[in-house]
Amino acid sequence: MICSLATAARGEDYKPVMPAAAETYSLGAPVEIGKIEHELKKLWQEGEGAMTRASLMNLAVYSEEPGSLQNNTQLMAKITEDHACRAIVIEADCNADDDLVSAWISAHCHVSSVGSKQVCSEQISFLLKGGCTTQLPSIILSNLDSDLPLYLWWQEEFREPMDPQLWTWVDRVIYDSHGWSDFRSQIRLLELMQEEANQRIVLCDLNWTRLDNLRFALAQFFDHPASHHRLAKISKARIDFAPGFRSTAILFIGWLGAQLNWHIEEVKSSGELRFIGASAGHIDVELRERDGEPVHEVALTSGDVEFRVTYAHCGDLLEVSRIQNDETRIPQLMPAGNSDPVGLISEELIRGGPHHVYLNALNCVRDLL
Amino acid sequence: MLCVANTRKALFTAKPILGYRQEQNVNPDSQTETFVALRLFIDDWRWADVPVYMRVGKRLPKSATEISIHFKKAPAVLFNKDLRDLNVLVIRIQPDEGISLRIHAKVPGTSFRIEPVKMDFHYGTSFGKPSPEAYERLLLDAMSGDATLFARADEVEQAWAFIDPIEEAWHAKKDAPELYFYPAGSWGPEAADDLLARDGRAWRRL
Repeated sequence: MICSLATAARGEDYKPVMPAAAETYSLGAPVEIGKIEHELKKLWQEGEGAMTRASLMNLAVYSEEPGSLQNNTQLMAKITEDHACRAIVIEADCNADDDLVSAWISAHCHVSSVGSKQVCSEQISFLLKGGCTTQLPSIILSNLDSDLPLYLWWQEEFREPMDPQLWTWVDRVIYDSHGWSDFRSQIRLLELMQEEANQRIVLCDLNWTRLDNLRFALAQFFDHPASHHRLAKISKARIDFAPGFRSTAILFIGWLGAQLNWHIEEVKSSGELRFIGASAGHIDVELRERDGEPVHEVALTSGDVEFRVTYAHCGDLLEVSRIQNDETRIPQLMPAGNSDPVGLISEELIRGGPHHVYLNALNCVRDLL
Repeated sequence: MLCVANTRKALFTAKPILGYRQEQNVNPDSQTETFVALRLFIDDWRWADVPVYMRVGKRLPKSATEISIHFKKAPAVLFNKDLRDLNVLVIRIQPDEGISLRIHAKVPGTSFRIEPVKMDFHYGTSFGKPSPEAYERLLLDAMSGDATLFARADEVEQAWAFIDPIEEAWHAKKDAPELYFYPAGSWGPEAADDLLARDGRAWRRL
């Protein structure tokens, strides 16, 4: 197995001194299910050089996509650069005739920014065949790093039965609602689970995380108290979104609605929306499907001023501009963030606490999703 | 003296591995409990009002013998207001003998957030050689006539004096408490979680 200098997956043919080479990632050494902890201990005892095993959380990733084990191992190698964890990566083939569980162990090691010490995160990989829903709780629960929170990244749509034996132990469930075929039924399942778990689970929607930088960019227009009065005068909003990201655009509108106390009054046949604001004024919202970033332009009109946030041509910056009487001020640039899976997950893992703003936004536009 | 305040007994059911009643040579209507959760108090002034929770069971997700001491929550937390977990000192008896302390530390950088972190002492790695298996040492002591690590008869009798009344109550023909069921591979029945939830607590994640 060949690994990069910065990232090394330790497995059956692990060599402590890693050559600089192309990044390929192995699932590591195959292990018996009953001996995983024992084999992990051996892995650390056999390791040479200055290495520190680090873990701040249990990050379990579940997917039913064939080949996801390799893809997610690759993602984990990058995620663990900034977020030391015990990774439990699971690929499930629920339609297989026979029940079978295979497991591998490996580690992702990264040279720390100070000195030559390597900081390593463990990964346990599972390939489940057959009774996925029945095997999943015991697979996850029996391989947790004790006393650390459990974050579950569920890459598929949720489906019943959702085993409370598992969900009551989950601290944060991470999902991406943009791919959901039926938003309402999915969120209903999640909320049911939340109830079962006595509200313990924090819902983390990557579709919402995707909007973080856009929201910051738009909100900064109104940071100064002198511009607050503009919020009450907003009469129009326009959102350009990429095909397949309508729910992302709706969530953005949900955020505006929840924060500014707007309520849906009408869904027009053209797809436009009309909200009624806190001061009984109307706000017309236009959603336009255009090629580009998931949500690549947002414009708010307040009186004779338009506040616009759009992706710069270079892609990783946002241009924010305030246009009054058709005169554009020199646009300013703000970071657009990284919207690939590693960027979104990293953003999510940095944050703590419940996502009250997300839940308020969701409730505001629940009927539109 | 130990007093039993609340107890829960349970029996594991099949899911996805065999349940106790499905095992060969086991009565399919067996009432033999495979899981017990207890809430105990020690009847002296030093331990007054300090609950001791104990759980033991078969076919749980992990095999571990540990004692954990949960520190009281600080009256005011500067950072995460919704902090639910407490600082915990864990004494691991087996496997992986050692001690760990879970504390909450502020995440480095600009974030005003605290996250749980663990300080771990492992016998296996700190001394560079593994501890002998439990029975290795006992068999050696038995052969050399050293009774230091063996339970004395009076200790065993005291232990049974504590357990016997519970067992008798559980198996009494009249007013026997309900037997709860739990799936094999889970952390026991919901009733065990409820036992702690009533006090605003939860079992540790092992």
